[in-house]
This record gives sequence, C-alpha cells and structure tokens, in this order.
Amino acid sequence: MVDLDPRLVRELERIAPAEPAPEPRWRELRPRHNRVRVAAVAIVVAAAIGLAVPWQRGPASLSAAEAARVVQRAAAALAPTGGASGGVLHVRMHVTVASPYHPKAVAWSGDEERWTDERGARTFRFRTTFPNLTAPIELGGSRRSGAISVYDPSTATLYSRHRPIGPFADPVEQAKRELRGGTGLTVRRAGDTYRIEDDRDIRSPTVLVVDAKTFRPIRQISTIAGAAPFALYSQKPRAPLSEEWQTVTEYRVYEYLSDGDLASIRAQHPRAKIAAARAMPRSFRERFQPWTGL
Amino acid sequence: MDPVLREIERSYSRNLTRFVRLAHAIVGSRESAEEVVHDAFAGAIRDRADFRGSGPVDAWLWRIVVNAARRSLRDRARDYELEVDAVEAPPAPELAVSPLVASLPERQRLVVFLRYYADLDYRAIADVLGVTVGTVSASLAAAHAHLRTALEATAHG
Repeated sequence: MVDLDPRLVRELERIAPAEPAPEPRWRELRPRHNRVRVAAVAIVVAAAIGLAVPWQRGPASLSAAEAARVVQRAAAALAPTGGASGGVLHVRMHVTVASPYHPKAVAWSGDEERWTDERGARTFRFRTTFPNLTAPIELGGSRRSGAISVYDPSTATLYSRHRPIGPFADPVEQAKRELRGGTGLTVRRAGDTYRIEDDRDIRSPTVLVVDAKTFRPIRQISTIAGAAPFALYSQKPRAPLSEEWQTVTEYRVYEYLSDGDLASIRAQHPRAKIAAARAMPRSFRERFQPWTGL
Repeated sequence: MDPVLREIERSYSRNLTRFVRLAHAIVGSRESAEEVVHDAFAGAIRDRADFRGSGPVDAWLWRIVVNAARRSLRDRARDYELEVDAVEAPPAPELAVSPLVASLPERQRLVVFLRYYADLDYRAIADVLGVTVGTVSASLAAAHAHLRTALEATAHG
C-alpha cells in the first residue's frame, strides 16, 4: 500500500487487523434451483405434524392484480385494529420446528404466547416452552435494545441482561415484512385459504396461509438454512442431522389489545426482585440457557 | 447458472476475506462484519436483476457491502438511543474506528478503507462510491493532510 502514510496504515491495522479467512457460507447463499424440492419438503413437514395440505393439487397462481389485492388485504389483517389505543399485539401460536427431510426429526413442538407493544417501546413478553421444560417460562424485555429478562417464579425474581442477544425469530414480523414488500409474491387459492408464497430471500422461503374470507393468518411455514435450531435439535440425538429446518407456526389467536402492561414483564411482576442475569442460580439457568443466551 | 450469479460467486470466493475486513472496519466488530457480508450477499443474489451491467459486478458488490455495513452501524446506534425497559444502562456501542480515523469525514474514511482493506485502485473506488477518480484522489489527499495535522498536534500536545 504505497500511497498511504505508514502511520495511517498502523492505525488501520489496529482498527481491523488481518485475521484468518472466515468460513465461506456460499452454500447458504446460493439460490435453490429445485423449487419442487422446497414444495415437497413443505408437504412432508406438514403431513408429519398432521396438518391438512390444501395445495397438494398444485393450485394455479392468481393474476397479478388479484394477487396484489390479496396481499393488501392480508397486510391489513396483520395491522393494528384498534388504532393508537390497540397497539399491543397478542398472538397465541403452536410452533413446530422440524427437519424437512426427516419427518420424525421434530426438534421442538410447543405452544407460545407473545405480547408485543408496537407503539414505540417495542417491549415484549413471551410465555413459551423449551424441550427440557415441563412448565412454560416467561421472558420479556425490549426489542429495541435487546434487553431481556426471565422470570423465576420459585423466587419471584426477574433476572435481566442488557447485552443484545440477537433477534428472536418472529413469524409475525417476518409475515409483515414480506407483505410490505408486495411484489414478487406468488398467491394461490387453496380451498378456503390463500397461500402467499415468498421465495425472494433464497435463504428463507416462506408460505403464509390466510383465511380467504377474513384474510387473517392461519399458518406460516418458513425454511431456514443452517444450524440455527441445533440446540433444540440436539435434544433428540437419535434424529438425523439436517442442514435445513422448517418452522410451522399455527396461529390460534391474533389480536390487538390496548393494555401496554401486558407486554411488560416488569409490569406483570411488580413485586419481583430484580437481579442481574449473572446472579442467576445455575440450576435455573441450565434449564433454558441454550435457547435464550441469558 | 446465470452470468451475474456466476460473477457474484466468483467475487465471493475470491474476496471474502477483504469484504469482511472492510465491513469490520466500518461496523467495529469482526463477528458483526461476517453477518453484514453474508446479508449483503444474500441481498445481492436476490436483487441481482437490478444489476444493470453498466460497470463491473465487483464494484456493485463492494457498494452493497459498504452500504450494508453503514446501515448496520446506523441501526446499532439507533437501538442504543432507544433503549428502554432497562434495569441498568447498557454499555454504549463500541466506537467503530479509532478516534483518529473516526474524525475523518465519512467519504474520506470510506476512500481510505476501500484503498487499504479492499485494495482497490482509484478507478474501482470511484465506481464503488459513484464519484470521479479525481474526487477519490482529492479525498485521499485530504485524509492524509487531516491525519498529518492530527498526529502532529498529538505529538506536540
């Protein structure tokens, strides 16, 4: 680098030192040419968990104008219904994470309930289960900052951590983002539903199934490459490994509420002691740490 | 495989280390840089139809990575400002670059980064940033002058 001052070069070396080459991840990036395979694996997973598969006969896609109308209505059905006073999204869903290639390799299947304040604070509260938990666990925090707390009912303590732990998989956010994008989606009529298919992001093709009358979300199937849910999967070591995973989200409740406290874990447990996550008893931490990063 | 995709793959295999290093300099973290580059390439592959063929694919990819890194840095800064519902204040995001280089205007800083980490010549840097070769040259000269002054002030201070 002959044209840069050596003192500047020293500075630049400090900022981003030369390091060994990162692991190439082209395999995750490259487009899938075999779309039939994607469709097929969706059917395998859906069948594995006992779902109806209304598109097995391969319904034709709607015209561009019809598709745009369905996408618009589906986006409206996901949006707040109560105006400024109804900004807390309450979703109850049943989630199944499974290998698309091995129907018996269900990494996790459980119920989850989420309250998310969409009015700016972006506070959230989840009640969810993990593979080694017999009872649901309650998590909450802020989507903006990544701050997260977990509630230990046995000691009435909220353990909190403020270092961002990365985004949660959020099927609702994903659906909204896809519908907002608008163009490039394929829409098919399948019985009493519409299937809105999005394979624009090659890493995560998604299908959103909505009610043909109300346009409310019924089911969402998303595929992710890589080993993201490996911690979940490792709970079933006898199941074959998979390089791709599908998450099937069945929406049981999708509504907007006005009470912001529903999305605040601290408001729900006003008398809870507050402690740093590092003070969490090991026995409590080990129950969920692989999935929360706390 | 379509020709643009082939070019993207070629550039990815050939330049991955440099892409990540450049992103590291902008976002301030090697780990985030790898994610930024991954996301940038996912976007490039998805939107490859947008590539008009008016310049080299490489320049288009460098521009996408630079923009993705800048966007990531902005998002992190915004998330920090909007931190709510915290028991205690979270640590501030790390300064992406050392104070000396951080004090450069953004265009000068990007020109320096593209010259050093990406090892691009003036023409290629101009293509990436959408400026003329003369502007690249002037930006580098200005960056040097700025740093010389700053270093001398430090030495005498």
